[in-house]
Amino acid sequence: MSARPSATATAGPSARVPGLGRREAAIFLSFADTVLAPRPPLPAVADTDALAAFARFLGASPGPNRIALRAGLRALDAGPRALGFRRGLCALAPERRLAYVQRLQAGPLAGPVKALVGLAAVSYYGDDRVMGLLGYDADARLARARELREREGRW
Amino acid sequence: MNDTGDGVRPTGERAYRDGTGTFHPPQRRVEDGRRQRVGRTVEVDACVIGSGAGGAPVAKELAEGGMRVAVLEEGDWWETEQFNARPREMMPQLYRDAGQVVTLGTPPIVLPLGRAVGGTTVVNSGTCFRTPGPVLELWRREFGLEALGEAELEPYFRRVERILNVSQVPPALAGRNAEVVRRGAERLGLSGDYLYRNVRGCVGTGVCAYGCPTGAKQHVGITYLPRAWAAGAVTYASTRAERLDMAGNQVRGVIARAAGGGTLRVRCPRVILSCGTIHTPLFLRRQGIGGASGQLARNLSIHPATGVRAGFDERIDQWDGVPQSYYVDALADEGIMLEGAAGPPDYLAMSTPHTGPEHRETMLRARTLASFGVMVSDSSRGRVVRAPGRGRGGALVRYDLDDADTARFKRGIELLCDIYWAAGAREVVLPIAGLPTLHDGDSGPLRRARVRARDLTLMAFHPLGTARAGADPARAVVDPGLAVHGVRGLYVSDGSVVPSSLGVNPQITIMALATRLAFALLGAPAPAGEPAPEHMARPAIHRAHAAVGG
Repeated sequence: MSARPSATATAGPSARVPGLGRREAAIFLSFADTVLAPRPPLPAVADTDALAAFARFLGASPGPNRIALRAGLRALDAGPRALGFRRGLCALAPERRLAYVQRLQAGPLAGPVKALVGLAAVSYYGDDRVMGLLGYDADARLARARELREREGRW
Repeated sequence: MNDTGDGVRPTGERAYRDGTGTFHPPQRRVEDGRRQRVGRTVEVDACVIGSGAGGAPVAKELAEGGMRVAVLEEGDWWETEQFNARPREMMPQLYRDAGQVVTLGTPPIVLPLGRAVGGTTVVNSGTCFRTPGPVLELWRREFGLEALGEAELEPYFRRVERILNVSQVPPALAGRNAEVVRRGAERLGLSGDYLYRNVRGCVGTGVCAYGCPTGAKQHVGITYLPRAWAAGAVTYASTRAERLDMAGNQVRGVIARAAGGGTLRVRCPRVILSCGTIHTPLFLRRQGIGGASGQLARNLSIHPATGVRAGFDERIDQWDGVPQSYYVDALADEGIMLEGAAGPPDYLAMSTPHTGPEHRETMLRARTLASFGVMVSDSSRGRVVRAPGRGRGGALVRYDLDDADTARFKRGIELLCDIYWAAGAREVVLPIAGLPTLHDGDSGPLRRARVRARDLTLMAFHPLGTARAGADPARAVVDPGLAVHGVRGLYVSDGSVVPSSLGVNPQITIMALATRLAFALLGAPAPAGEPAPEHMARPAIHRAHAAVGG
């Protein structure tokens, strides 16, 4: 039967993540850092398991979506040059990155960018530590669920 | 709990909270298609394709009525203990295409569909409404569905509600997210109530849409299918139906492909298609069946919905309690329902309509944010086509929101803002591009805005209508008995037969129609002796507002 979801693991910028190239991983981290802008008490995107989670989303996506998402990442990185920023996304200063993404959000690519923002957000905020900082404890819920199932003979 | 003794079934707090009484079959008759690598043939009386709200009740009733039944399900079987209360982890596994089904059109609309044994009932909110009477009357008038009146469907509703233990959310489990909306609605004198749900022993874990880890939500995978197994039915999980075996216009069986690579041939004189509103019409089209009316894969309604956030000066923790526990039906006659739409932080983050520091600041206030939904009974209609390059399972959904529905959203969002202000909100975050966050009770920017469809951020959870039922073969795909017009032995039992938008969550409608189909196939009269529910939701829908298409 279906396997339990694999254990999550922190993946820094240089980590290899199955299904995602190094360059794509770096672009994702840069993009997520831009659109989510975590600052303490929130950890940096690279200090969470967001990248691994994003790769799992990609792996579970249908082929055309996967291709489009990967191409979208590459395009995000190349896009600033076309818009006069002179550097790729990863090489831009944080405030310039945000200005670039917001320019995209105001144009015809708003839809795809919104989808990528959503995936970045769920990937990052689904990290156990981040959820814990916001007051959500999945393991406590599971412990109660297990106790109820055992005590009352539920499925 | 007294289910049948005095003819009245309790639906109050005790029924809702009591977690005992789970039905366990002597044997779990689930065959894992991942392990099937060679061909095999089975012979049954009925094959049900799909194990969700439309398929499971048919399978259970037919099996208990003495038929040999095979259920084919493309998704996996999930044990309750595998649900981990982490939306991010569960979504790619329980939802079709990792939750990335999106309509093409204006605006693009995310359309989450379940893909598991139990179908979308594994991941829905568990909200239960009967089909509104005026909608049934519309079906009678427009589609000749004479036998689907409230009285005729009553025994089927009762039966479904008993098996699912439909009962009302007690206030203590509704969560503070619902509490603030109830408070605001009551201050404005607006009609609303706690929802009725299919649960047994709910403690408000808050993750209904990602697999209930307490086993409280009574999805069909732990209610109907186990009863079907006890009566001899077998579920073939991870097994996708590829095509029908036909002899002229008579069904002879189904050819399916197991995930392990083996072929499963099911020989049977009747097939019940329950692949869901998006995939049933494509399956029929691949067989060259059901298209004579020109209505196959058309007339798609989806109940588009959106979420509106509000910031309070009090702790909300919207992930504590039942995420969808309360509704406001003050505008139900206009096709607008407000229902809870809460979830854990990652769910919240995914749909937060900000970028950069504003996104972060919103999320840092997550504990004080309320989140409620506006659902529209749509007059817009879409269609489904096969996705090129996606093999047999790929679907494209085309859907454009019309002006009337766009106006409904604006009106519904305005009302929800009023409710939030009345409840004491200090800010409201709108799901509308170009509009600022509202502050200090001032909805002026929203009221003055000209909202266009493309400005809205929408999701949809209730696709219906792509193989609609009707007496006239020139206007409908299936007949009033849910048999495909012009084909012997082929029936449809899922949301695709529902001929119009409902205005309420559809799972009880789909299950009641499925149960009725099964009784008809058995040649049995409507079930007698089903207990009347003590109470049931009565949304204020006095007229059908939905368009019916061509």
